[in-house]
Amino acid sequence: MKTLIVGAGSVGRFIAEQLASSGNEVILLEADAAVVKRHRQGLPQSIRWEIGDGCDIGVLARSGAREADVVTAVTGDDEDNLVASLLAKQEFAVPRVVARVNNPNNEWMFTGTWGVDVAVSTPHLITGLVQAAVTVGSFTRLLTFGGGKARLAEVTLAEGSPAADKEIVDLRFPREATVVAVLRDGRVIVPRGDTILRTHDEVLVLVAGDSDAEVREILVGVDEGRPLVRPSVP
Amino acid sequence: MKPRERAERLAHERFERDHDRLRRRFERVDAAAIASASARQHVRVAGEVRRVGVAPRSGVPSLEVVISDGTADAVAVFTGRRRIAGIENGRAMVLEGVPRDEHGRKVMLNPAYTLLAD
Repeated sequence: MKTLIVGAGSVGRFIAEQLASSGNEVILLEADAAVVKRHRQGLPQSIRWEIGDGCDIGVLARSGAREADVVTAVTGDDEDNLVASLLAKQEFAVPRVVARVNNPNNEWMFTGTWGVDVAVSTPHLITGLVQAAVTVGSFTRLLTFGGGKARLAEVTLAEGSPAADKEIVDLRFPREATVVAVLRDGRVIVPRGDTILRTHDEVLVLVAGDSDAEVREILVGVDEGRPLVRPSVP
Repeated sequence: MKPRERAERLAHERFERDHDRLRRRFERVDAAAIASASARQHVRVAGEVRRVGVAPRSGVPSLEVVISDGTADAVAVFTGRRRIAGIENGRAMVLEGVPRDEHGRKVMLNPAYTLLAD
C-alpha cells in the first residue's frame, strides 16, 4: 500500500514509522527543511521524504499523490489538513483520505465535502477512552466513522447486566449492530453466536443507524439514568 | 416476432440512434471520449447533459450532473451547490478533472467546466 503522509510532526513521523516497518511504501511530505534534516536519520530508510507545501497541487503531484492509495493529512494546522484533503480527493481522486482534527470545534468540517473519508480527532478519542475507563455498565462511544453513520461503542458489563451469562445469539441484537470483540481478563475474544458474555467483560459493538438505544438496552438495561455519550458536533 | 422481442429491438434501435446522434454532436469537440477516460488520470471530456439533480453527499447537498457523449456517461459532482446557471438538460459542456470510480460510475469531483454554444 502506498501512503502519502502530509506533515512530519510527531504524529506524521509515528505513522510513517509504523507503516514503513510493516512493509508499506511511505512518502513523508514536510514543509520545513530543518525538520526533515533533524529527523531523517532516526526513521526507517525506506521512507521517501519530500520537502514542500502539502497545500500545493504541484508538490502533491511530485510526492506521488497520483498513485497513492491513502493520503493522511496530519499537520498541526486544521486548515492545512482540510486543503490537503480536498486536493487529494478532487485533484488526484485518492481512494482514502484520512485527516487529523486538531481543534475539536473544527470537526464538523472534516467530511466528504472537504474530501475527508475518515476524520481522527484526538480530543474526542481521549474523552471516549477516559469515559470508558471511569464508567462501568454504561454505553460509551469510542469512534465515529463513515461520516457518522457507524460508531464503535464499548460497554463494560456491570453486575446485574441483562446480558451477563447469556449467549450473544440469544441477545437478539438489531440488524445494524454487531459485537466485534470481547475483552476478558486482558485477552481478546473473537465473538461467535455461542460466546457467553460475563460480568466485567468489555464488549465492543459496531453500531450503524439509530440502534444505539436498543444496543444499550440489551447490554446495560433500560434505566441507566445517564445521558448517552455523544461527541459534541456544533 | 414476439411482441416482447419487438419491443426490445425498438428500444435498442432508439438507444443506438441516440448514441449516434451524441457521437456526431461531440466528434468535432477537442476532448477525449468518456469511455476512454481512466480513473485517476486527468482528462478533458465533452458531453450532453442528460440529468441534473441535487443529491446529498455526507449530509451536504451537492449538484450531480450526468453527461454523455455516446461512448459512456460521466458524473460531475459540485459540492455545496444546488444549481449552476446554464447547466441544464441538453446543454453541451466540457469537463476537466480527475475521474474516480464510484460503484462503476465515472465521478469527477468539482471539475472545471465550460458550457458550449449549441
